[in-house]
Parts: sequence; structure tokens; C-alpha cells
Amino acid sequence: MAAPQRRRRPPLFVLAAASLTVAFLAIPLIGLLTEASWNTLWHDLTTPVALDALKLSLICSLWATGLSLVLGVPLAWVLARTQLPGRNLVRALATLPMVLPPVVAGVALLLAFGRDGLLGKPLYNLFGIQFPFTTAGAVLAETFVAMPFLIITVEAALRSMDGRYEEAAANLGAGRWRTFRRVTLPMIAPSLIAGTALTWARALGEFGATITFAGNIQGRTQTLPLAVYLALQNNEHVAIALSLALLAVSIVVLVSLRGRWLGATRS
Amino acid sequence: MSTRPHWAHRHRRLIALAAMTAVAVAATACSTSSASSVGTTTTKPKLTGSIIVSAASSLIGTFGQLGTEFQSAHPGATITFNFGSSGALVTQITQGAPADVFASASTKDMTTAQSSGDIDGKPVIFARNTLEIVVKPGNPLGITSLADLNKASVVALCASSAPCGAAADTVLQQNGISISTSKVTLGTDAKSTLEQVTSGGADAAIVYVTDAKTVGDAGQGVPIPAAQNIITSYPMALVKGTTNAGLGSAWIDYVAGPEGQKVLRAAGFLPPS
Repeated sequence: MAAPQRRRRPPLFVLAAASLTVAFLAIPLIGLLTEASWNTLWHDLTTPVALDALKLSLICSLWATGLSLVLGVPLAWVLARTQLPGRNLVRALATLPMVLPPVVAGVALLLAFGRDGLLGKPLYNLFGIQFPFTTAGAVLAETFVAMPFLIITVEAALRSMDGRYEEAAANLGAGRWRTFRRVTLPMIAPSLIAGTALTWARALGEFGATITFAGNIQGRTQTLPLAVYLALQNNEHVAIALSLALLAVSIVVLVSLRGRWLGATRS
Repeated sequence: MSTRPHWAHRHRRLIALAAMTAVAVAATACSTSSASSVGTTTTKPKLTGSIIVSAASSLIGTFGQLGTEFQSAHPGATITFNFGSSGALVTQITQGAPADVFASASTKDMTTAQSSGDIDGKPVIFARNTLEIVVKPGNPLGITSLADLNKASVVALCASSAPCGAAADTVLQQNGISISTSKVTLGTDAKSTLEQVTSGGADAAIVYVTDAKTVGDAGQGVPIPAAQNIITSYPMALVKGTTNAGLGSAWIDYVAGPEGQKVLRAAGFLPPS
């Protein structure tokens, strides 16, 4: 009698709620699938506009993820492990882009990095560097909006990690960098990977900040979500085709990540 | 153009890690963006080089077509479009985004750009638009006038911040029609407003004639009499600081000229005057 009990059959209301959630998440996607015009799908996806957008989306989202790792992990570490004053303020600042409407984030970026912006003006006058209407601008916009996902995930992992392993490593003579690389990093790896995937997905879907700050120029700043927005203006089936491409790319990456990394580290 | 990566390289040591990575991206982006924009500075404008036209997203169909035609007529010229909402485009321009031409869906946004000193010369009105009611196919509620909009349980309007919303507000107001706010749903632009009728729960929408023309059999247009309607203008102008005023002016002339007007008219736009 005890054995089947231990299998923990989920309570009925939990199952019902879970199925409702699945339906809620799946039905809009099914809507897209049924509205798609499958006959013209290949043609819609191989137009220069679509191919440019697909390529640019991959490039920009990967750059944004890379930048987030380089810039976000050190901040997460500082927030989790140090007692520096003002940490709470910095933590709030780091999560602010998640709350800010992306269009507002785009305007804020323009005010900071536009050619007349606080930082953008000297950058342009001294070095000829400009962000609006450049791929670098699109990367910047995506990084700004997506990085908080990495920071909060990694910070949470570092906080909940048992610090005694690091102490042990240090006592055994490992330097700080070696301890981080050989002890800390492997221990937070699942969170790091999950945070990276979230960040990448957010960057891939970024729309408001990109179109406001970087503009909407084919091959330069017109990522897939921007191309979808334009296609909606005159060609709904192209918009759906592009959305399906976006979905397919993210599903492939997220599923393979989960299978290869999360699954492996868990067992 | 080869100087750009060199600059980035030289300053690489001087700036922080964050800026460094961004610079490398910027350098590649800049070199591709300026490679084709070697503008001619001779007094007689030659149609070579490239320009960026920031245009209201309601122009994507017509400008896309006109851009292709213009470029095949002038093989040395490249027209690159930056489509967005007029309001966002103005913000980009006033913050120094390197657009060469600005085509707005409202005179208000053009005036904003002018008053901040970002417009070169006088804007040219190249098209006009007017409003129309769109209802469900077959017009089940029998809506034939603005006053009939009160028969609808939900009316879709553009938000007042969008040019089509400002226009719809004016039309309703000047005809003394008030629709209870609880019956109104607001779209961010004409397309999303129209969508509320063609695939959503709204019974009627007020959008531009040019948008109403695109509904096919998912909806049905109900014209608003000219006496009750208003006409909005689409101005276009050179952006101050353009590196290729010759090509920019040629593009504006082309859109305002017979070829441009033919395409705009086919999409439902009204003539400029």
C-alpha cells in the first residue's frame, strides 16, 4: 500500500491547473500554425528581407548574450559576494530594464548613446563611433534589455551556493581565479546556462528598444521581430512565417540546451 | 573607410572593457554603413551614393515599391528605409540618428523636427489621407454613419498619441459624437486598430482610407462624408546634416512627381492638394 503512495500522484486540482496552463501557452501557438500559409512558407522565408533579418537576429542576439556574460557575471558576483555599500541600489538598477517598457528603454538609450547623447556625442566627435542605425546599436539595445535576466539568475545561484566548497579550495591552496574556475563555475553552471538561455531568448525577441534606438534598417538593424512588425503592416502571412521562423530557432536552441546541458548536469 | 577599424584599434587600449567590445562591433557596422555613402559634393547633384529615408510605417508598401523603381532607374543610387512610428522617428532624428530624409504621417511630428532645427528647407506635402469606418463583413449592425458608431458594443480607435488616433479624435469631436470610453479599445497604430475588427472583438474601427483598403473580405469600409471628415497631410523633408542632399532631393521629387503619385494613389492616398 505504501509503494504507490510514494509515487506521489499529483493532486487533481494541480493537474487541472497545469493542463490549463499548457493550453493557455499552446493555443496561441496553434493559432499561428493554423493561420500560416504553408504553401508559400518556404518562399516567404527565403526572401532577402527574411534572410537578412534571420541572420541579423542570430548575430545580434549572440553578441548581446556574449556581452551580457562578460559584463553581467562580474556584477552578479559583486552583488552576491561583497558587502560594498549601495548594493541594493545597484541591484535595483540592474533589474530596471526588465520593468521599463522597451520603447522607453530605447528613448533612454538614445539620450545616452545617440549622436547628440550624453555619451554618444563625445564618442562620435572624438572617435566617429555612432550607434543609431548600426548593428552595434541593435546589439546595445538587446544587451540593455536582456542582461538583467543573466544578472539575477547568476546572482541567485551564487547566493544559494554553499560557500564552504570555495573556502576548502582556497585552504587547499587554489588561487581566487582557480577557485572560481574549478569550483564556483561548475557549481553554478546550471543556473549560468539557464540564465544565458533566458538572456539569449529575450535578446532574440527584443523589439521596442531596438526599433526606437537602433532604427529599422534591413540588413543592419532590422532583426526578426522588427521584420515581423513591418510585415504586419502589409503582408500578414509573411509576418506569421517570420514568427514561425523565430519560434523554430528558439525551440531548437532551448530544447538542445536543455537536453545537452541542463539534463546532463542534473544527473 | 579603412580608417574606421584603425581608429577603433588605436583607442582600444584607452577605453574600458565594456566600450571596447561595443567599439569593435561599431567599427564593422560603420565600415559597412559608410562604404556605399561616398557622397558627391559637386554642385550639380549626381544620383549616386546612398541615403537613409526614415518613413512612417504606413508607407511601407508604397515606399518599398517606389524605392525599387527609383533604384532601377538610377543604378548608382541606394535608398535604405528606416520604417517606424513617426513619433519614434522624430526622436531618433533629434537625437542625431544619421537619417537623410524624413517622411512623416503627420505635420505635428514634422513640426517637432523643424522646431529642434533638424530639418533642411521646407517640407513637401507628398500625400494626404482621410478616415474611414471599417465594420464586420456584411455590416451586421447597419452602421452607416459616425453617429451609428454608438450601435457598436466595442469601437476600435487608434490611441491619441498615434496620428490616426489624433485624427479620429478630431473627427468625433467636431461632429459632436461621444463614444463612452468603456466601449472603446485603443490600438497603437492603424494596423493594430484595424485588426480589432478583422480578427478581434470590435464591431467597428476608424482608420485611414489606405488601411481600410487592405481589409479584403475580412471587413467592409463605410465612407465618412467629406464634410464630416478631416484630411491629414504627409510631409517629407531633407534632414539637416545629410551627406547626400542631391540624392535626397531627387527622392523627394520622385515621390512628389508623377511616378510616385501613381503608386500612392493606387494605395488609396489622396493627391497632395
